[in-house]
Amino acid sequence: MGRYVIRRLLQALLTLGIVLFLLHYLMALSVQVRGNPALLFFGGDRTPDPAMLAQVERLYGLDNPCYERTGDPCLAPFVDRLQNFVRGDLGTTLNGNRDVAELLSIYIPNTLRLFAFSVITLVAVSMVLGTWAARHRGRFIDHTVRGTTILADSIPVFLILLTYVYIVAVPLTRWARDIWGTESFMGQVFRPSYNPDYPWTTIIVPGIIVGTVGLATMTRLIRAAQLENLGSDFVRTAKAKGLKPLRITVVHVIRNSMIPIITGIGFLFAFMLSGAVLTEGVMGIPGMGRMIFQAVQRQEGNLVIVGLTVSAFVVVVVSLVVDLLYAALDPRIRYE
Amino acid sequence: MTVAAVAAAGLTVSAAACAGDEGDVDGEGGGDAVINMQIGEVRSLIPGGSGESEGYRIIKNVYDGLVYYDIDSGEPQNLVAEEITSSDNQTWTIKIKDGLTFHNGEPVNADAFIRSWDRTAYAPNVLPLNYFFGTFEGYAEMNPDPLPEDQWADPEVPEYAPVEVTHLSGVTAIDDLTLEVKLTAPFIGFPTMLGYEAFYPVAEECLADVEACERKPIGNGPFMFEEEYDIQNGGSMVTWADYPGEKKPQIDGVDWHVYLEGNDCWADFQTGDIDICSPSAADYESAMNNEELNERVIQQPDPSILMLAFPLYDEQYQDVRLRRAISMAIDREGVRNVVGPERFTPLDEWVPESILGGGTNSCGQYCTHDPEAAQALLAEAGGWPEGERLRIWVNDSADNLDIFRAIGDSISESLGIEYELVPMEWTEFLTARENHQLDGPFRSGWGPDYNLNENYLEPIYGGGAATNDQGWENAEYDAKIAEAGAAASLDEAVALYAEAEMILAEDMPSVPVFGQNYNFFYTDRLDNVQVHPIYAGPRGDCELRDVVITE
Repeated sequence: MGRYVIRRLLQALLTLGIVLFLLHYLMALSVQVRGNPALLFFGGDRTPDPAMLAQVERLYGLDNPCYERTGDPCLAPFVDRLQNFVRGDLGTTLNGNRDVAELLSIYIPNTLRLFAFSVITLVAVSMVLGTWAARHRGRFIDHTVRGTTILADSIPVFLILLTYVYIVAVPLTRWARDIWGTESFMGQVFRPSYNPDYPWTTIIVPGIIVGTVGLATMTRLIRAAQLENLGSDFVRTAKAKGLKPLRITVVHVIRNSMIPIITGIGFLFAFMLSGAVLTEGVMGIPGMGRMIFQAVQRQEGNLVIVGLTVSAFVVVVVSLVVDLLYAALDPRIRYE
Repeated sequence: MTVAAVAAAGLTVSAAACAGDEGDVDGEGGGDAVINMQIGEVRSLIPGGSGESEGYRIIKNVYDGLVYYDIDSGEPQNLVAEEITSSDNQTWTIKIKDGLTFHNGEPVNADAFIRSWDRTAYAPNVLPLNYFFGTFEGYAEMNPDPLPEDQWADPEVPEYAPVEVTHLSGVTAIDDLTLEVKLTAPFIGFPTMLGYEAFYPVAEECLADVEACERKPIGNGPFMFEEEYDIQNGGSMVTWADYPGEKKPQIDGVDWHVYLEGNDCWADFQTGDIDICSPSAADYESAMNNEELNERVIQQPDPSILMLAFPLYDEQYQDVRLRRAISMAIDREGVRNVVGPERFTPLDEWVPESILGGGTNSCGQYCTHDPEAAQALLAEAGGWPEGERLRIWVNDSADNLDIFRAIGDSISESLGIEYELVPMEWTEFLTARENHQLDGPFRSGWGPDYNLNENYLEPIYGGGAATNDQGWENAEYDAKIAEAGAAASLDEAVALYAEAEMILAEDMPSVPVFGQNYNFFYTDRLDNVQVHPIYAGPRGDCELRDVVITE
């Protein structure tokens, strides 16, 4: 087990290294092809003094001549960047000269809270629906569950979001405030956009919306896994022993169906990050997804690299945890 | 998936109509008389570091400058300054009112201004408003030219000698409350500039810990921060109880709610969480149709203007008759109806009416839609080359594409030539525009730094053909600008700048297309809502020194 973890960690490091280099190369190409992002520092409409421009370029490490040669991988700045990362210096943004590490400390908790609510929603809803459908296999309930989840999944998340923000949220908030008052939980929870004064309350609805991403996949995965277990020998034995149906479902069926579910959550995690970009954007949540999207638009090369590296890191860690959970859930699985 | 979906989301945002009536909007945000304002991303809260509308909205309320711009006339009126005088428009003497302090008790004296100006003018600080000091004596020493080319280690990377001068030699303190400023050339508009953020004072404690001061600015104005301001989460400003100024604010404080790019305050305005908001084009119509809401709207011209500029470095655009033909081919009214009639007003001058010295109608007949005259002018200029397309260069924000497509359609219809819209990403566009790499008319926009027609003339068209984006140069124009700077009175200067605008109009290096409009709605708990004609945040703003909360 220990050796397996070490091997996986080394692989993860290699993956992250490759990701970092690719990101760096793409950003260098972007500077070479699209033009000098240092100009953005001056707002755009005016021609900066060459001395000032050179200062800004030096400040952000854009003064290396490799940025003038299209296709040059800019290895020297890459090594500099790695050294800075190792020292814990994540650099600053071009616009506003803000410390990237400080930005991450604001953005990451918001995205984590968003993900917490969406994972809870996804798991709870799909578990209930999947279990329910499996127990009524082939009957009306099974078809209804399948139909509704596919419908929910096929509506793009941005449409749900926009419908909520522009049609539902305003009347709902005003209705709730008439009854419970503005400062109450109900008066805040339906707000059309995130508010930092209520960091938990106003993130619940966006979290639930992100949680609908992959609902159908997850429900059907759970249904299939449970059906397989429902038909297995040990369940038949348990039934024959006269165990109550609830105990059979919870102890024997659900636990043994966890492996595909954990796998599913693992890969839906990466998927949810794309849902987070939209949700954070539309509902004004200062989180990682929106940060990366805006950084790309604004040519904040450093921010893009750091942001995507963090998300690559999370994906690598989540998949490692998923693999380790297999062993915990199923005693037959051993890692040598 | 993400990028496409976000683009689609953007489109749907602008297409989605808003629902719900405006029956019971009452601001229920914070405490007593606290106004809830939307704000975008703030770059800095220390004078000299912001240079964008959002930071300036806070800075202008936390700090008091030497002058403040009158809400009606836009003219500078002394605020911290007792008197600003000059005998030759080149050496200026500024007397500061006695007894003023910063929030922390430090005196607001000559040193407070020198400290701030030196910081902004010092090149290694790389502050966005550095260029405001370009006309000061001693600026060159703090912003040196590159070393001779043969001393560079790499022939492509310019190198500089280290900058040792940390003080603007043109600024001296005659006594504790008197400043003397020497400019490199006479500039009559100097006092007009002084109300801008670049010239505000800074406390000593602020520069001792710049980072802390960015989060909790130490100003000398009517509002102050008791807690830190956060760029993502906003913050609260309270009224400074000991404010010595004549006009104390009527409200207890301001809560700033942050809306970063792409986020819209309109839904929160409808729930009463925001007090002033400008709807997007899509929401505008339903807002105006709402009887209760349309009584609470402020509509007035925004001094920002939109132009179509010509690459005068290109062979094809040498003939002024061609440039005039293109201008006359644009049906400004028609284009406006396509892209949102309430957002723009057709423009036939280079300096809009709301600016001191503006409203000259200098473009006159050449900015009036007349397809026949345009075709005749085009024929005189030798016609349009057969089979060639007119290429119009724009940066690719969604709105720009719509606007310039409508402009292109109009030109194409009037002149019978084909056109092509070439969208470019913002930085790419800036680089190409600056390096004179465009082969057709291009988008050019401008918002003022201060209330003087000079600000629409010299920064855009001055500097010579090699420097400005159009590649335009006219000795007569340059002479007129210099003459205006040396004028004896501001009135005289404004008139001379207006003459310079006429010279510009003769040559037409760009054509004015639209002036923009503000459309700000406010909640019924507010009264005396005034929007500054020059400085207002584009997405909803008012004069916080004047606004009253009624409820």
